[in-house]
Amino acid sequence: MSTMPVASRISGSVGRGGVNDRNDVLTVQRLINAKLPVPLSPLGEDGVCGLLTILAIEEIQRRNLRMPRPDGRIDPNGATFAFLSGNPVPVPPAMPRIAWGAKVSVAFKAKVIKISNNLGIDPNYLMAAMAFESGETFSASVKNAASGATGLIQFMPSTATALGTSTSALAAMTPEDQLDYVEKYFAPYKNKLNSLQDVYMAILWPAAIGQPNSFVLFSRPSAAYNQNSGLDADNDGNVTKAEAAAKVRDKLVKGQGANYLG
Amino acid sequence: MRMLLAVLCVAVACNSPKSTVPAQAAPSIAQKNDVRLFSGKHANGTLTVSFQPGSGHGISSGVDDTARLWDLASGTEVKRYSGRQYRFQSIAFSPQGDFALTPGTDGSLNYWKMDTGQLQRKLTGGSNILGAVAVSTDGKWASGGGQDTAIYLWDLSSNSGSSVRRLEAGGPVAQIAFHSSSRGLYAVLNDGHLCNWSLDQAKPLRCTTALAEPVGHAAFSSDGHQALLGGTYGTLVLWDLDKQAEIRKLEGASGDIVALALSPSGAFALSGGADKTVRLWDVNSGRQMTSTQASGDYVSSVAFSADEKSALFGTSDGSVALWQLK
Repeated sequence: MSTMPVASRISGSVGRGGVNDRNDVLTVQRLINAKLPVPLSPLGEDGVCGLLTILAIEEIQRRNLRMPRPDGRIDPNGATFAFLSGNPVPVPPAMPRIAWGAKVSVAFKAKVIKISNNLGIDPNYLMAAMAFESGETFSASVKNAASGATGLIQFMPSTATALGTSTSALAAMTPEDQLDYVEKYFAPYKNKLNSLQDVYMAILWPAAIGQPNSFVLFSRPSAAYNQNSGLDADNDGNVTKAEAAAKVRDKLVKGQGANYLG
Repeated sequence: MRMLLAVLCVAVACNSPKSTVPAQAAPSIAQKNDVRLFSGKHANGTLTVSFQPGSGHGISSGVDDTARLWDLASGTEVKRYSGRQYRFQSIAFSPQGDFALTPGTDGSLNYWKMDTGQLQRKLTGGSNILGAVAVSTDGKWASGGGQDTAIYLWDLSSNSGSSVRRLEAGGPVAQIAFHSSSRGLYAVLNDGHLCNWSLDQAKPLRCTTALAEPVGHAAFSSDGHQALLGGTYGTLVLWDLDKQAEIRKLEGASGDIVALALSPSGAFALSGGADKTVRLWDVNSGRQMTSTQASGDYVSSVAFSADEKSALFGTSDGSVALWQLK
């Protein structure tokens, strides 16, 4: 048995078909010798991955890891090395279920979660806002004929231009690729959007971010009111932040229902 | 480099003497044949158009990663710059028109030579897209603002690429302009605020709500006393920067305002946007003087010539056109 301190990581694969860096092989040989049950004889700790080393790896995989078909190879992040080194087996974190997750591709959902983490916002809020803006289509090309707004967050022509693109270029993208522009759009609001209302205000009415729910966005008569009169739930001629966001709240609730959560 | 940068100015600020353009000289109504479409389009849209000072040329940039130099007399393309760095949404020229400052990607600005297209200097430090560029009248400072929480300020007299200073805007910025004294900077924020900084302080001296709707685009007068703000719902507000007060609204446009310009004398304005119309305004009366229909889904850019006799405009379908105003 070796008494040398043993490194707890290897830089590349060791064993059959592996990279077999000398130091990595030495690490594996020492770890095997520390674990190998009697009466099997210890390996020579020479840093050379010969047949005996490969057979010993297979033996560990068969006996201890109960692999039906041992491959004689150890990968830095694989189960065999985790067993030998005592490191926990790395498990990829399971993707959480989010609102409207069942409506979009796995790649889209994964990207929304990543972007939301970067921006410090709840991915459910971002999905609800996109569900509302895109009419539940999550399409990159869905377009409002009146305003020219296009895609996942209904990019305005002026917004597209400011981002160095155009609504037609945005419409030609995959929804997954358009999410890059969603992230660029939201970047200035990083860590400032703590509610569903504020996530939606970043799209509809940036001046209302951080304001109370009673904040009036626009009033009759105005072009903004005329285009969004449907938001004025109590028909008092004022659209408040709460009224404007109520439709997005509905999409959040719907998206978290059994048919769309995923 | 220092001397060259010292003569940079914003495109519309590189103007002819004001005395040659009396404010009361109203252009006649433009006829349809006053608009000439240039031969060639930017695939997926034009981003910006501008007159190159003193050259008889115009420049356009588009989503197709090209910039194109146009002969204004013939409407033909005389030079093409290809590559990602030639896709930009605004441009500032040196007074002679031989150098350009344009937004790059991911928070940088590019300073490049017009005849070769060669990059002379890259100004880095911003964290996201900077669509608006400006250079102080004394040539000491370059600035960029955009989809970022800060406006960035580079000291052009320093050779250090890292000499970036931050002015805190708190949210995205639609347009920027230096004070005529070169000691301060104005910005129109996307949320409708107009803010004023002293260059030596990160926090704004003052922010005022100038437009009661989200901002589509904005333009500053070359004398640094007025701003024109255009909303995403078509509202146009002329703003007095000294009094921090609205002068008047320009009534008649509708939909998202994507493009705005104030003429070198400050007497005229151009607007364009989702109503697919380029409008010429008499700023002093607030009246629309004339307009022309544009192709595509929206007008993406407008610019005045130095003599205010013509305009360039670009559209979302990638076309570039010259409009004879008088």
